[in-house]
Amino acid sequence: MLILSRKVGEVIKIGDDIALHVVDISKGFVKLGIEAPENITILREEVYERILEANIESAQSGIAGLFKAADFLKNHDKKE
Amino acid sequence: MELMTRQFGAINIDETKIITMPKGMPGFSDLKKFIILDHDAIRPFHSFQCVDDNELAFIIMDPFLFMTDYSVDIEPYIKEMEWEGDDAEDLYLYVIINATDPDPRHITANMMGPLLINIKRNLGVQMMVNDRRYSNKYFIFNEKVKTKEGGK
Repeated sequence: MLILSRKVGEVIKIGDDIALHVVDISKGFVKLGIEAPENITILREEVYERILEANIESAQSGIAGLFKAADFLKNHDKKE
Repeated sequence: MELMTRQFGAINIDETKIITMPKGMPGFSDLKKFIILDHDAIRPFHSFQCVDDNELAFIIMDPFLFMTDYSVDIEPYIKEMEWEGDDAEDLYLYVIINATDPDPRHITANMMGPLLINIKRNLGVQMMVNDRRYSNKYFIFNEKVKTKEGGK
């Protein structure tokens, strides 16, 4: 991994069309500004990780739980 | 064609309705072909059955049925998928349901990774929503159940 030191206000260029601006550093947080083409997905890593985790867990959902849930929902709606 | 499904056994599917997810989904990026299956017994849920792997099926649902103000920006995905100019009526948004808990009241939805499906093109993409309002485990019966218990 390439590791660079940068001060507030400095920039890192990645290729021709991505620029990473160090906007602010305080209390253990780095605030970054990112310039990139629109077709590039930029996410906090946790967002991807949470979607991955939910996908893997949800794939285990069984049919029994689903029937129960649909039933629950129908009965629930009727009561309201 | 006949397809062995995880939730309904062997059934006949309409091949023209197979949806391709060109990028796959996080955790399942090799699997690209899916089909939405409906069944009276599971309405308003649908099954999102993988065609490439019989053992893989998700449960999906229209998020607006339980969160009327759900709001995500589909524009970047429209651009990425090159769907500019497509009819908005052909675009469907679903969230993936987690029904692994035997208690139906504990069913959750992943509000961070909705599926955007273009039924005209038979293409889909799993969005990644970077919005702190939305969790990957939202209890879909949350408010309703509370109201019910509160009214006892």
